[in-house]
Amino acid sequence: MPAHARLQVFMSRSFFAMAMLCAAAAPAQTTAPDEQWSRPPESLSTPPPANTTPPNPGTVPGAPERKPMYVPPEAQPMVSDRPRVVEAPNRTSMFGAPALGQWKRGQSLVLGFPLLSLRVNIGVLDRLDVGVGFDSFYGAMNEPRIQAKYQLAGNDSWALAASLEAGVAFFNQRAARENKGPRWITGHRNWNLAPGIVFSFQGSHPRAARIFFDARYLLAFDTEPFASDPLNGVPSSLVLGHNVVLRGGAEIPLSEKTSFICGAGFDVHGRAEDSRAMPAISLGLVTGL
Amino acid sequence: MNIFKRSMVVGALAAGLLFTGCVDHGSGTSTRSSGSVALSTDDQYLYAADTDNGIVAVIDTKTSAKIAEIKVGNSPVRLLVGSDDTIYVANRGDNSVSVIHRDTWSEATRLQVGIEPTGLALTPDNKQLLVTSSAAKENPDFGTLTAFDTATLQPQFEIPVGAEPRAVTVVAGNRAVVSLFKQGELVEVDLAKGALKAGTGSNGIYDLANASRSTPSSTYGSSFSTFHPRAVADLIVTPDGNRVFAPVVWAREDAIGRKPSSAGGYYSAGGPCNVGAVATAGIVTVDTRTAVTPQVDDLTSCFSSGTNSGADKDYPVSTLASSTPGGGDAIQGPTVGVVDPTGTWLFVVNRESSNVAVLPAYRRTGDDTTYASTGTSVRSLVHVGAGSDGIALTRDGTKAYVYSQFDHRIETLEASGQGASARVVNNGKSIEVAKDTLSPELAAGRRLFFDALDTRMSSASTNVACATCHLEGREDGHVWEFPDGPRQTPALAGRHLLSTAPYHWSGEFSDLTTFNKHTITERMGGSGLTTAAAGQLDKWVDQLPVAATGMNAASPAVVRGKALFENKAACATCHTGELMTNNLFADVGTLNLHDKNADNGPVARAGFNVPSLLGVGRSAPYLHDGSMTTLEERVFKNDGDRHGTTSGLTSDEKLDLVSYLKSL
Repeated sequence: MPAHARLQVFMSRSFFAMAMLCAAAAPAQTTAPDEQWSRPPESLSTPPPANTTPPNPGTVPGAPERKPMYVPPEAQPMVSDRPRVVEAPNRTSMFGAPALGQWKRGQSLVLGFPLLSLRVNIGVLDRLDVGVGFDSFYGAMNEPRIQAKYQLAGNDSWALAASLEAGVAFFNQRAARENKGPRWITGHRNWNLAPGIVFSFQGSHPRAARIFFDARYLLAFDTEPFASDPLNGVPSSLVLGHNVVLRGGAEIPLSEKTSFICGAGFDVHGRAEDSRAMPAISLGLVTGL
Repeated sequence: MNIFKRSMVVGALAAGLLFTGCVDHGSGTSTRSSGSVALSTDDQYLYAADTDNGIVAVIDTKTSAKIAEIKVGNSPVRLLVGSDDTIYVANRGDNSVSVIHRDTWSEATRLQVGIEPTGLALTPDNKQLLVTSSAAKENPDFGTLTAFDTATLQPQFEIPVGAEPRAVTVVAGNRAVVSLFKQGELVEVDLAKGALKAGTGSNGIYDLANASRSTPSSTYGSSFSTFHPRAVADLIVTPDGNRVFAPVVWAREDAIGRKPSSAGGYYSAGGPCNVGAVATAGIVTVDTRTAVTPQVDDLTSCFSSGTNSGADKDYPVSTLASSTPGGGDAIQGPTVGVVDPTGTWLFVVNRESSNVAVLPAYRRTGDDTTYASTGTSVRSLVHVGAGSDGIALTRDGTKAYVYSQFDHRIETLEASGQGASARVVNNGKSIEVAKDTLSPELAAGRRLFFDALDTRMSSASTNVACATCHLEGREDGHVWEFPDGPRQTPALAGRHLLSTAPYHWSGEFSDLTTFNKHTITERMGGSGLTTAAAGQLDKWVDQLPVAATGMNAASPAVVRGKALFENKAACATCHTGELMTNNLFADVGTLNLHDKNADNGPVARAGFNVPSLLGVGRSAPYLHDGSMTTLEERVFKNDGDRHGTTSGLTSDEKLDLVSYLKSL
């Protein structure tokens, strides 16, 4: 079987398998009981921070008698009567629009088609995340990346961000050698720049999935263009590829800082040498741990 | 800094290193031209070296008009244009290199080099000119590589590089690669040191091509036919200097059967992987990034499938064949080539089949090749004129100029169509460079000698020319396992064909008529020549000059050797007269009547036809079975004085005798 045919079979199987996994994983987060519901929330038993400035006794009326913040379980007549604990919402987003917050870190590992992706972000400002990443077409193309995301607007339920990613791709085959390889599939070339807009929203439930939509313009800088046909002219030393990358998906919280990521989408490639459009799917984890 | 921040810093540093992690291995000198034609750096002028006329013609590419003609040395064969637009011309006929400056259109100076210079290359900085000469000035056993400072035109070094060096090219890492024409080997040179790279020897082309053979002794008559690369006429380097392509002829080492003329004759089929004839065009890929590392298909393992294995290999198929369904035109006699400026397409000029093959340089499969069904990755095959031995590509990659030496015309190739079905075509607008200097009779004879497509000479299923084995009218150094025993290709040049009957090592043909009839119809499968045409062919072969050696005939050693040859050693008993043969037969102790492929037929009774010794110094190996690789070996190993009376000679006398032989 030719390489491109094998690749197409691999793609279709991968896409199907990941779609099934994604479909199977998402309901589990909404129907299965979370074990944390049966545990006392640690936050309620945590004493106030040590550096909290107490009220000035000279200017502030005497503090009211403080009620115990945590009542031991044995004092409760029945668990079912216990006040429902409010969980801390998951705000660690790598694929959605919300920023991590200053000096907070997030990372993700995603397996998918066409790329395997590893990313680490840190919030340098409340609304600005920067980070590094590594994308790979499973060894055939390896692309270290840098990325930045700035949250333009939003609140606890929605957010809008502008993002920018840049990477340099290393291919294990020269362009002239490839036949429906990573360049054809991804539209990526030696240098890649992808500005985009990310919108996401999240339900009020602390473990509600964060649904995101990501639209990017991928500008691919080809520094090794070749003559696809003999004597049809030498291309300029730099050829630009204009592509559109569309992704949607969900970060489905597993805990306050960890989410399952499930995404899909497609690329539209502008160069005649590349595939016209290519589906994409991804599964992975996002964590702020 | 906490661990999170530190990890970010480390990650950023790692990414930075990856961003800048490319290692520059240097570059080679990729030229857009090879052989007898070249372009100025701005493509304004096209230069063509006409070997017969001893000129370089200057063509204005805009008007296609010839604007100048520059007289250079005898038999110019190769042109090279430096980045400063200086033109260098290898004059094979008078052992020199002409230097021409642009716009002056006259020879500025002439550099003296070794015997028969053929290969030219420049280093990437344009500071060093490299010239290969087929033989050293005082020793035909090896050729030389001479380096010149292009600023002063003074020689920097001259080193021996092996027997019959032909092409030279500069590859990444300040190294040069030299091809040994007959041996089918490559030699690597450290240009900084002006010396051969340590460990340079056999670089394994033969072993790779014959990887599946079980043992050397089992090759003959076994299911594994083996092939030897011959005729490495050019080295084609990619723009990055990391890969070189070497055109070759794969010469069969296993038995050649008697096949009827109707089936194409003895020489039909039997090629590697069922491609071509007993001598088949090929292309060897060489990775030169760290060392000279050939990449060659195992030609001995593919007879069951009929194709080379390994569709995923990133180099062209090692045999060159037409991709035209149903056979189409043959490819024979790959002579020169170029890689396009993007390193994507390889162009190989095939002199004996008068065409140019275009194939991907880094793959063999794809929508535009028929590798899966035909076993070849040639995408386009375009006809050109006779004797084509030069090609040049324009900077913009839209035109290729090919010089057809026998027609004295430049032809232009262009693209036709787009996408996978795009082809290269000859636009039909040829430019005349010079007139024929040969008589019509000789010119016709030469065309016949070099033509593998003329069905009078060779059947359409055989497609070999006389020149396929008798390279340039000489020989290929190969021993063929013919039905009557092993036979080394004899040199023709300088041996006066018309005066040395009978013919063949066995001497079974008493005249040229019967010889032609047998060779052309029975062996090559041709329909046969008329008497007039055969006369043209024979006359052209007869006048070929002997391969020069540069030995001084008046040197004391040669003079002493001549006296020994004629008297004490008694060589002149058989090798007598001006032609150095008595045209009789002799058994010199080399008859093999018992082992594999034993000698049989007339030789078993009468011995071998005494060959002329003219040009013997450059026609190694020696004897009918090629069993002696040097003249020294031939003279020193002569048990029982079966081949001359050498037992009474001292070692010094034997060396004198060898010197004389080399001077012939």
